[in-house]
Amino acid sequence: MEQVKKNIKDFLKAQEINDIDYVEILNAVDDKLSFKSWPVDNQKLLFLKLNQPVDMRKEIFLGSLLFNSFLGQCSAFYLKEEFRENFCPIASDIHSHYFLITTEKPLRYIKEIIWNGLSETLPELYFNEDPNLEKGIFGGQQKRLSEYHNSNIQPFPVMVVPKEWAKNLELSVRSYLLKILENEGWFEEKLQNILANIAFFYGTVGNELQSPAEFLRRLVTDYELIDSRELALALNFEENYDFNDSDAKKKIHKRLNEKELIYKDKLQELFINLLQNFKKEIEENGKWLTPYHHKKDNYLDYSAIKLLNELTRETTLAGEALSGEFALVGDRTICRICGTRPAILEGATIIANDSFTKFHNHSIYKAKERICVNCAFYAYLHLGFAGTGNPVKGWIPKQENLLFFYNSMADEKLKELHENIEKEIKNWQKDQEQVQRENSFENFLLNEYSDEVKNFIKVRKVSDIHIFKVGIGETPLCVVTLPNPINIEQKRFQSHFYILLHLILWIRKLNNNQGTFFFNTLPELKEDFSEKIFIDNRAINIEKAEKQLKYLKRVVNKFSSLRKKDKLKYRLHLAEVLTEKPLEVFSHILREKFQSFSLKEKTELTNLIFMLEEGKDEFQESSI
Amino acid sequence: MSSRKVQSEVIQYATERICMILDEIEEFPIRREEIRNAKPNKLEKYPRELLAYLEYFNCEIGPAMTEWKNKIARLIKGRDPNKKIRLSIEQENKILNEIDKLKLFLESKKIDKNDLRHWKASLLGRIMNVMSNSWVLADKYANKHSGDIDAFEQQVIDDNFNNEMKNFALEELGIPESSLEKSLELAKEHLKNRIQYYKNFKKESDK
Repeated sequence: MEQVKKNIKDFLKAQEINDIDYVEILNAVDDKLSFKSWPVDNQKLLFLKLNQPVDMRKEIFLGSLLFNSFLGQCSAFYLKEEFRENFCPIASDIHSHYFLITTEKPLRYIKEIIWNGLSETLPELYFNEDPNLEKGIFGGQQKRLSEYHNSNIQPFPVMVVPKEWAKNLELSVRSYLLKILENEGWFEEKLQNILANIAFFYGTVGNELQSPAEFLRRLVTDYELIDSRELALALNFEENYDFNDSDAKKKIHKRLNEKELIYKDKLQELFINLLQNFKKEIEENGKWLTPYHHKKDNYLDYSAIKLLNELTRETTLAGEALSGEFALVGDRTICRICGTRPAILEGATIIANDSFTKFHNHSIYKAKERICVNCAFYAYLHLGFAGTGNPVKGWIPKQENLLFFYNSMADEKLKELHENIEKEIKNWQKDQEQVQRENSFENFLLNEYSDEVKNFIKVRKVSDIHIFKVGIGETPLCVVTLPNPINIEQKRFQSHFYILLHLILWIRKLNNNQGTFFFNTLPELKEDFSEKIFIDNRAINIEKAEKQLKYLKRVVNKFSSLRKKDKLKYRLHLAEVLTEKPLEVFSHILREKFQSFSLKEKTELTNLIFMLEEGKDEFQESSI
Repeated sequence: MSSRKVQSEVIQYATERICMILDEIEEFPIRREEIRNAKPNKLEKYPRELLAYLEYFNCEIGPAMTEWKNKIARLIKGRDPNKKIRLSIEQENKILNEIDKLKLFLESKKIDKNDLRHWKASLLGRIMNVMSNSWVLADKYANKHSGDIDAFEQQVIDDNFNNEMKNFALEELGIPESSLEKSLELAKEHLKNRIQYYKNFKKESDK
């Protein structure tokens, strides 16, 4: 908050505006005003809010958040280019971005700049491989979306790409494939991936899409893009092998799984030649431009401008609609995910898994249209950001996985925080190996952080943790995606207040003890919020919480020493119940294990428990 | 709808008084072996009876406390054939007066079902907190002054006990500073209740 204050003060000073107090502007942010203006000499000082409500359905939450962040950051980038020192981004919350402009131009002009900027940048959001953080583009979509090994169910959401961008998509896929082929380990790891991609994007009929072997055979016999002799040599067949043979498909399929018999270099050459042939054909007569999807009309039947209109239908600048078009739901089917917008696209497993059958299916169960453009686009962004993994059971970060925090930091610092977290986790994983060797669980206790957090994190992949910026201004809103729970036990970890507190305190510690953190709470920028943590709408005093955790840990350690089996589960359970009812739980345990402790131990324990009981309600200061 | 907070302080005070009453009529163990082999039931028996009466009379303090007073009176008058505790008439009267005081105190604070539930569940923890602190502190004092009869005079205990035990209580037992004074007072009371035992207390090394 200090940073925001200073920022506004500096801006007012640089603009030589003396009659306006910075508190007025802060109050405007606080009250979430959408528009305010003050006369300054011949110009106006405008306070503007760019608002795009984020969808709270968990399947599309992250995607929606990413789009919102793109809107804010991209607008800020183009406004900065236009107005230079007359423009000042203030802050963001989850739905809106606030900024100040001194200008004599009308609001319509500002709207135009934002609109033009967005329509210019939208293709970049789709196809840019390199990140452009200034505009809120994270890049690497193609790489993450194309990591599938089967093309028998639709593995890539082609239906979200407008038809006019088919060329961009093909180019993006081709460059992705060529990039993989250059890498050394492609043959061992990515062969299936390459085959699936080629079949999915260049196949002309359904069975070619489903079977890469069949597609390869047809490329030789029917389409003559591959020389039969080359393929035979690469696959280690006889030189004059006849690919019209009825067994050819089965034989190729079998051989592609026997990697030791294939000539790697020859196959690589063959793939590169094939891709170049495709390129040549497309440039000459446009024949091989994703033929199957064109034939089946799988692409989104929208122009790029119409798509942007659709996406920004709910966006407002200073309270006015940005796109100026409104949806007519009429008697159309409602989207199965958001339940508000008209469904236009058919459902696909790759987007939002099997949610189609679960929600809002009251309309017409067998209707073809199941999902609206916005939801499909959000799912696309989400998958492009987090990766598809298993297309059927891809991991979906949900609201309950996202930790928001405000911090005055640059992009490099975010990177540093991410690196710190990764390093710590890797250290723990090493620790874990050692501990298994020495077979002593107690080694963990010597370390600074709680074991529960370690156990919570060490089973996950490091790649599950993302840290990124979604807001504008000097104190941007940032997000950490916590690792995804794998089973019910771990889900319980996540919903566990004690674990969460530890986890957040740990991340905060790595962040140089800075930042206001929000979990399961809508992030807001307010004056008295600094140096606090919010969990489930409860404000928590960090100092007192740390003290409480220290006592809790000592008690739990004492009790869990009685157990031999299932120690971790028992500890977690204990911590959970002890935070709520310390005295009752203690009495209950004491009744059972009265003689397991010496008198002095009991005395120490009772005193600890009384301290816990005292601080039970104190560290939670208030609720919002 | 927010539920009323449990009256933790009232419950704690009442438990302390009950503990001291029972300690005075020698219901609680005192020797090391007795404490070591004690069962929770030994500590909880009479306090639980009071809670049972409270539950029976729907949280009405008057009848419940009268019943309980009867019970304790029978105990100390020796009508129970199993109990042969003989106290002087002065002591007997003092104890009965204390029960009356407790009754007045509880009547001034209303106790409801919520409180009662909490009291029942946390009873052993509370008793252990009062008694174990007192046992250890009194034990330490007696150990230190073993053989020195003057140290067990009422006046001397009042003057010296707090100063001598303060550091031990804070550092080794980990009693929080907020409740230090109360714990020391309770320990002193316990020491006075059982002065005969502690007077003849032999050092640990002698045993």
